[in-house]
Amino acid sequence: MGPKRSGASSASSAPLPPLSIDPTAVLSDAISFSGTYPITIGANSVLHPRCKLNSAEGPIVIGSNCIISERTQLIAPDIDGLVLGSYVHVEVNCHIQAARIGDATSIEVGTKLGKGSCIGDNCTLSPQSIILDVDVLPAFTVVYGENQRRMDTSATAVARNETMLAHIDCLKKLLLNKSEKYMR
Amino acid sequence: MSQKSEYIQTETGNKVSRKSLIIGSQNIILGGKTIIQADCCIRGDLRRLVPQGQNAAAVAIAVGRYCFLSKSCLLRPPSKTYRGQFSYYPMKLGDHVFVGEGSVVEAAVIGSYVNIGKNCVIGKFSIIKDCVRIEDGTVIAPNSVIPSFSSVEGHPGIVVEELPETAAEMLELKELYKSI
Amino acid sequence: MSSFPYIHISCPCHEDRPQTLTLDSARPITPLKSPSKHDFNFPLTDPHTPTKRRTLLGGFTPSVSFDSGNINLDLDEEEEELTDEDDDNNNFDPRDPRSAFSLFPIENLLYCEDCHQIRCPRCVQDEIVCWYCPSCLFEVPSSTVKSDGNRCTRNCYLCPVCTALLAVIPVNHSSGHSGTHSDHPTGPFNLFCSHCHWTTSDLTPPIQLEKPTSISAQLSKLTHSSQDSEFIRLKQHYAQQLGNAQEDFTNSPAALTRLMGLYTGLGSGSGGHGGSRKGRGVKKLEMKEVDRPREVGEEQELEIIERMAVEGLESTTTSKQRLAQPHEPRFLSDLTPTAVLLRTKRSKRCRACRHILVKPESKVQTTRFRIRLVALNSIPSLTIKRLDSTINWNNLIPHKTHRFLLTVTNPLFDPISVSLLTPRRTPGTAFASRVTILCPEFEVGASTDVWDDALMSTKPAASSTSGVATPPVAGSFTSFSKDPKMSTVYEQKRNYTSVVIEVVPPEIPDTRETRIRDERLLEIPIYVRVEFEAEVDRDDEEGGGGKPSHSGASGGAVQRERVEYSYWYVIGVGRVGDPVEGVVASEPNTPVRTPVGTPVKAPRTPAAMRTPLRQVRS
Repeated sequence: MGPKRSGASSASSAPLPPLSIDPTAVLSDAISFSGTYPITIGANSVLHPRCKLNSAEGPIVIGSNCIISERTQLIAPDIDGLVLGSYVHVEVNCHIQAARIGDATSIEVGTKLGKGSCIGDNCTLSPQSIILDVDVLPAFTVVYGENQRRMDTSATAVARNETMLAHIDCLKKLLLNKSEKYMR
Repeated sequence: MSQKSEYIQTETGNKVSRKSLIIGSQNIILGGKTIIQADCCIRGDLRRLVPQGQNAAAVAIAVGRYCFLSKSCLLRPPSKTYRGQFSYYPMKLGDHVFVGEGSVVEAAVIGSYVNIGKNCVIGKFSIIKDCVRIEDGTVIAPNSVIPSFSSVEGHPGIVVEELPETAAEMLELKELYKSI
Repeated sequence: MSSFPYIHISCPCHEDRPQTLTLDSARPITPLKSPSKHDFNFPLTDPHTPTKRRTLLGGFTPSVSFDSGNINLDLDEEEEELTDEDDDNNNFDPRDPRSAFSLFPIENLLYCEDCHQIRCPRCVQDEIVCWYCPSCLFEVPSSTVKSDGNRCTRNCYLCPVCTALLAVIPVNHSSGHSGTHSDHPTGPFNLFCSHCHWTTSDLTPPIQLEKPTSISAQLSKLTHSSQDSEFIRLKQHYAQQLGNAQEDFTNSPAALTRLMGLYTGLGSGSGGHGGSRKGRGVKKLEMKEVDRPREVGEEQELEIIERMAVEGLESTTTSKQRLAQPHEPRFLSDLTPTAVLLRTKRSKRCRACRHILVKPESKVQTTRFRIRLVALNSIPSLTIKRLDSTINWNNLIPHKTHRFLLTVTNPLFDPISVSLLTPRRTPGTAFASRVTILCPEFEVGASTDVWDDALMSTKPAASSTSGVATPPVAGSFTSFSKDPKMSTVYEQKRNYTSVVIEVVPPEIPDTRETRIRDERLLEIPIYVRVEFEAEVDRDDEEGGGGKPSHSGASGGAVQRERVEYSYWYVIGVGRVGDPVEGVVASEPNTPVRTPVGTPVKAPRTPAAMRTPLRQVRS
């Protein structure tokens, strides 16, 4: 286990950043951690295979009950780091350099969040949305179509979080938990 | 020659790139003569959860014949809550389905002779019928139905054009298979 | 015209005299009128029918030259016959505004086997086979379309904000998701857009549905504008006035006459012209205008401006959203779900001879056709490839000789002889490119079975005529097989032949900003002439078309007829870029095969011509 641990977990043989992983979190195989600042993963959060977390510029904090999908990159923009609230769902192929993502926010496939952008609570970013650097999205904003915005008044937040929990339960049954592998 | 060695050929003529990522291969069916290019990802592990007791070997992704999955595309079964139970549901692709580079497919059913361009997002549980062309960069909203002989474009995608009667010939991928 | 290269075919229907076209194409040229002495030769002109020739042809460029070493034997004769024609009117210029309407990719063209003519979407007539909803894929009977309009009357609604499909969700969400209990959520329900999260609760006043089915019925009651109710009031009134509410306005000729009477001011009780109408057997109609007609919908503009000032511009609709709705609402809160527009399955008829060219199966979900006569199966298709992969389609280098591979694929079961003609300089622009087809005359093998293909594939790639799967029938096309230039065919396989085409674009100033036309767009018109011999079914002489029956071959004497047709193809090669240093104007590396200064006129052949031959083989 010993020598294999660092080599298999990330593509490079570079040492892993300091990781603080909640015991209830699920980390799949082949997650790439890089950088030197600490990375914190909250309770009950799920990371799909092949997602990339880069803490070279600052720390990354992922709250509880989050889902980070495959091929998504979380990159801390600066020394203040990247903070994800709880119940955040980041879909595949996203490129995230935001400073903060609020609670219960859904970020759909292929979205790009510019450096230092700030996404409020309960936001929904439809596929392939683009948020510019240091842009601030107020709570309950929906980005749809060709980056148009509107306010979400659908009152679906409670149902959404329930679905998130059910989704995480489901993923826990389907994904192989390799989180010990990344533990120091 | 270097091209040849990139692919592993199966008994049914599928050519799978060594650089592709296929998870849960026991839940994936490839119909034959399908090409899977490098960095392509197929999530067979996200299979349907059956109620306790049953342990049916569910098929998560079924792909027909002469399909072409371009570089870094992703096939991912769709998921939803149905009758209080959250689960992933199987995805089925017909024959002669082309998926362009970087596209993400979470459809329920894709028919035959379907061309999906580059960087498209096919939303959860969408149904794409036979003879459809999805232009580059299209985002198909979840639960959409795209009827036959349609060309789709936009965010979210809408039918912008009707394809001619020759659509099946135009979208056939036999020649493409031979070229690899 | 988005991506290069593209190849379009000019449908002859773009000619300025459609009535003659109709006449000609409905009746194939009879053998009597075609001069038999030209049977094996290139030009086929008909001195008796000059107008016909003009209208049937796509038009010709006077400067068309035949870039081949093999100048046709009949050159003199041809020139003679053509001198009386007004050449200037016959230019085929792909940039001509008129041409734009006639150019289609081969995939979009149909082929009428009776007229022996391609048919573009403009020269076919559509007939609706069935109506269906593209979302739920249910067929809608045409009677329902007539009564309820061309939108889905089931549960298919689109989001008025972003056009995605709306889903029905319970307003009280937690009941539906809390796990084990309650399989069937109870109302009330919302329509919810999973793309932009718009719901029917966003409307003022909010709309909630009692049950998750028959949404149309529920919605029509709930989203009722004052305009709608006024329209219904008026409609009811006039229906009553007609006395016969059941009578269909559109279906009965009498009702139509009465309706016309209303418009011409004869309706409302003026007995002046009543007598004449009685004379025509129409019942006299007493019409009363509706009481107190109200003008609705013309809201006070001032009110709207005030509302805009209060709610802000963010609450107004975009033009797309507005136009998709009835009564064009100005505010987002007034947008109502739009029912999905129905789609149709249509059969297509030739406008000239009324024969059906396309007939889909009427079942909504099948993609099969009962009849499908597409050009792809009847006329050769062209493809173009780069010989040098460094060529950038979007940035062709001026003065450089670009070599492309032009491939002609034969869909027919008979081998064909192909002649390609192109103006040496691309027409219609002051900045003409030089175009040379290295081997403009060649044969293309028959589209035989895949079986034969497997047998043939054991042979090495053919570099000469001998490699053609089906060699030309002895005695015919001899001039071609003797032609030494056949060796310049680049590649010849079962049913396709590739030749090299050289293009030297000139230096072109960038005129995209200043002019309407894109001068840098390089389009090459190529006149493709095809000749072949087809077997004819004796019972059905016209039925041969592109697919002659092969069964008769064993029966000894097989009647064969010579078929020829020709079309203008336009190849969109690419865009000419800025000049590159070091590449300067010069003559192309390959010698020009036609002596400069001897332009050869293209022949004027009817687009389709069939000449019966004496039996040529047993």
